[in-house]
Amino acid sequence: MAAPLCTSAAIETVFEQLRLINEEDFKDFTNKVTRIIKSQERENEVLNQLRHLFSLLSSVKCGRNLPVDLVMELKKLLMQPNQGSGRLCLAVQTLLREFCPAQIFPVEDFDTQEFTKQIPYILPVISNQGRRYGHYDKLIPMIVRWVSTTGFEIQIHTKLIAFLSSVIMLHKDVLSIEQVQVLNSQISDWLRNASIYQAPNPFSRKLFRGEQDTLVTDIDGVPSRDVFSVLSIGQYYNQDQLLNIHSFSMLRSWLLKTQAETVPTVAPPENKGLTHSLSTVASRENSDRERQKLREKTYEYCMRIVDQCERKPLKSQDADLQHACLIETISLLNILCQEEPSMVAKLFPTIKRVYSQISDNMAYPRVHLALIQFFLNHGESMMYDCQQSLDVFFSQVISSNYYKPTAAFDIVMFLQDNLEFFCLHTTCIETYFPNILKILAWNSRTFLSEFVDILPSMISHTTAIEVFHTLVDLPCMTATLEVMQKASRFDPSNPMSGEVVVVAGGSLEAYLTPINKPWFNFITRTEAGHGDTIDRLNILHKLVGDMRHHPRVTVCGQAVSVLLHLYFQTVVKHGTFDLMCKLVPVMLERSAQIYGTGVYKAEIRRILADNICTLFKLHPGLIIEARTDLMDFIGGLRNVTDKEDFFVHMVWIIGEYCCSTYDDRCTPEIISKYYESLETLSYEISMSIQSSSGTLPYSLRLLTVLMSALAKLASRCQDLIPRVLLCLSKISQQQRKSNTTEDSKLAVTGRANELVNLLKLPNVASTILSPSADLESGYCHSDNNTSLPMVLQATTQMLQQHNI
Amino acid sequence: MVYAFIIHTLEPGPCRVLYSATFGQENLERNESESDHGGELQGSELRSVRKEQIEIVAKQVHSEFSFRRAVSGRTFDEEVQILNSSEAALPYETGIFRLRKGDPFTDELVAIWTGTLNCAFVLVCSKHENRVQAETVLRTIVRYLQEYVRVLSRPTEAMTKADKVTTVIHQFLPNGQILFMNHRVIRQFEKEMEALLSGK
Repeated sequence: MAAPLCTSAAIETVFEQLRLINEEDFKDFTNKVTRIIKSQERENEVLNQLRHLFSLLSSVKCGRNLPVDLVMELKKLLMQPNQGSGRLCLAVQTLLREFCPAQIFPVEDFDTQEFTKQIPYILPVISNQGRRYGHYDKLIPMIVRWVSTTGFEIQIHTKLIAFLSSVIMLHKDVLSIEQVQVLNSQISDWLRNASIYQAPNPFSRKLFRGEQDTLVTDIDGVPSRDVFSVLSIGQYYNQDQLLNIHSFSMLRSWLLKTQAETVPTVAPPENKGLTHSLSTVASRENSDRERQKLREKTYEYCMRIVDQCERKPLKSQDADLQHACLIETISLLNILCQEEPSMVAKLFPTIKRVYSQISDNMAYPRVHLALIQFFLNHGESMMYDCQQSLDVFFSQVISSNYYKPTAAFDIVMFLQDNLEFFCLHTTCIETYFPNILKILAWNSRTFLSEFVDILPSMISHTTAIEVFHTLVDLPCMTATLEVMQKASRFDPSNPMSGEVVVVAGGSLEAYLTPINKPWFNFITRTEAGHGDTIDRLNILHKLVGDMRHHPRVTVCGQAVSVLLHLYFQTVVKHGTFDLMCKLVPVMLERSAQIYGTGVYKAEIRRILADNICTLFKLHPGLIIEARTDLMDFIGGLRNVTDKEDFFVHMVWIIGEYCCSTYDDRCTPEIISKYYESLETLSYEISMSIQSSSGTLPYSLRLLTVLMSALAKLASRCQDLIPRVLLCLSKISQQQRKSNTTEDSKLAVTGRANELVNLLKLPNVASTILSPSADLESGYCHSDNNTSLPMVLQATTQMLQQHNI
Repeated sequence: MVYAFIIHTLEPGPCRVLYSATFGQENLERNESESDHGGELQGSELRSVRKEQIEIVAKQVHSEFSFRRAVSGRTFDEEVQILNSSEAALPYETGIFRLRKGDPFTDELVAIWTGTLNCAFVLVCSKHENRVQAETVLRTIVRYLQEYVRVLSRPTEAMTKADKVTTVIHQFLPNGQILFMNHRVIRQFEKEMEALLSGK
């Protein structure tokens, strides 16, 4: 069997062949096509050539131009009637759209007698020409005129109105206020006045229609005399009914884009003549009148749709349409109320009724969203307390829909769009952040940048610690959610069948075992405030251990690094000293307990290490406040295993900041206590390194940092100096006997010597090892009167002069 | 309103745009720094910028789809087998993501995509588009593209017989308008489309 044509190899071959053509050959080919078109060959032949030409043109990004005479021939094919079938026109359209925008293809006017049939094919090309080359200034007024003249070329009205709608999306000011008014009026008509009888069968050959005119039916099959709408079903549709459908379809974007026109932003000119100001006032009034009529018709149409949405559709695919229409209707009503606040009172009962119908049904999250957006925008004026609907949304709707990509997107957009409201008027984001983070845990790649915006709102003084735990554990949440989804597809009555099979000792088995419920319930909780984390978190980590390398979990880990950086930025900027005091012990604790791959753990520890330094730099007093936890931490060799780099940072911090210049509560007793812990540790590590052969159990960097820290502490509490001298020389001896390389030995012993020599001059030692806090301001080095280099220079010169 | 419709390839293999249709042309200004004077971009430059923008979107969909396939555990070969045995059971991945202002389009837009095998279909819509209906329209378009153009079985035909794709778009996404079509409207449009495709 030949290889399928959908493989990438097959596709690449086609592309290569198309790109091989050089410029000359291309030119020859375009000339050939021009000839073929001019000589009016069979349509199939022309079609094939046009198709090939399109492939050549579209397979490269730029550089292939069409010659003018070819473009003129194409223009003729497109614009003149009876040059070819619709199929050919569409082929020409495809080609020209690819080629546009181009100056050499002006379409400035239409002779409607000739061109009407062709207009649907021409419009997309003009659309791609853009405003300048498409000569919108000439065409648009003409199109608006056609559309507003009753009965004129009605069969192309749907295409014209779609064109206008797309143009106004990109070029908002292309329509004048008068044109907008005209269109407002026209759309109102189309919304209201479509016929309610079914069109005759256009494909039937019957010359006489024996049947009576049949009414269109509602979506449940019941014939209806009520206003025609998109949910009205007929066997065939005539033009005004299609126009009705088009009008409703473009209504939302039309209202939004033309909204500014209705608000008079310019005050009427005072100095102009009376007639001018009258006409300005008149035009503003008209604008209001037409707009008001459009709003009324929209309102009626929306009410009709709401009514039709309560019926059960005969065809299941129409149920999707109902769903979409309901959402569209609610959004439209929202916009109407924004334009005219007095409508809120009229609409509110309907909105509430719709809400009560779906509030228990989690299968329609996007309808929920549309309704809640309405409540947020307009509920206040009706004294409506939307807290309950928000609670339902943040808990149940998110829990049921976080894993559905399309619903999740809408939820995240909704959060982002209303972020300010949520932060200023509710505590929803802080209360429900664990639930909200489920969306990120499941779809990390898609929503990371959105969550970068949302995360800071989750962090408050009460939630900060819990947010930290949740972020670090986010991959664990992802793993659990994956297991949960698997469990929902598992059929316990038929365990060996189906795609999901329980593996003994695996995460799915653990999840299905009732005794493990508390852990899984914790990690998938919806609300915050029930404890920052749980005891024996390591058990949960073990239960889902086999999911560590699942792609969803590893991608989540990448997202966490970004968010954790952001978390610390926020905390550093806005957090109080109290918060830092609580955070530091938690950081120490979590550095030992991270769920994920080796790469993830290393990355988190790196972020923790960097940020803990920042915290201490900002608040050196933490060294006193957190001393119990710090001493516990450095007291245990087990805290070094696997996270040596983080440990090194902690040792450095102690050496650097345990000083009375930073915090005068730093008494000699405290310094001594820290010293003793570090000294014991140094001896243990040095012994361990000395007695090892092969790979070192601890790095020499750790040892040297420890030595420096000990020296720094001793320089502040000079009673310790004899002890530290003994310690340093002992370590130096031990390392000389160890199995490390010569260079390493030199490094360690060299450092030890430096420190020993320094400490023999206690006052010098204290200046160098415990400089004042403003050392980094450069003061000590650049001040003309007191800088150290200057003093040293002067001293050296004096000594030289006196030959000492 | 839809700004663009794109068909492109997915993994395995690089991301290649097979077909793209835009429904409008932005006015783009040249960067002051890029040339001696500012001013609007000319025809062929606008074309290049447009193609670059489309490619950026396609690459993002490509990467999203790769992630989805990785977490689903399915492979391309398995899906080819399903295509050959029972096409209606082909699993589709669907997704939506945001295209922020300026990256790559001037306005903030939203990309709605669906894909299977190694072919993806994307609608680039404005922020206020009804996404539920847009997804339905996208599914309808994909269904007809497979039925009349066999695009999943032979993706390059989206490029070599592009006029057929244009015909489907012409009927179901006229000038980029997402229409609220019930099943009878779709049927009527389908019949008109059949007539166009057969050359009447």
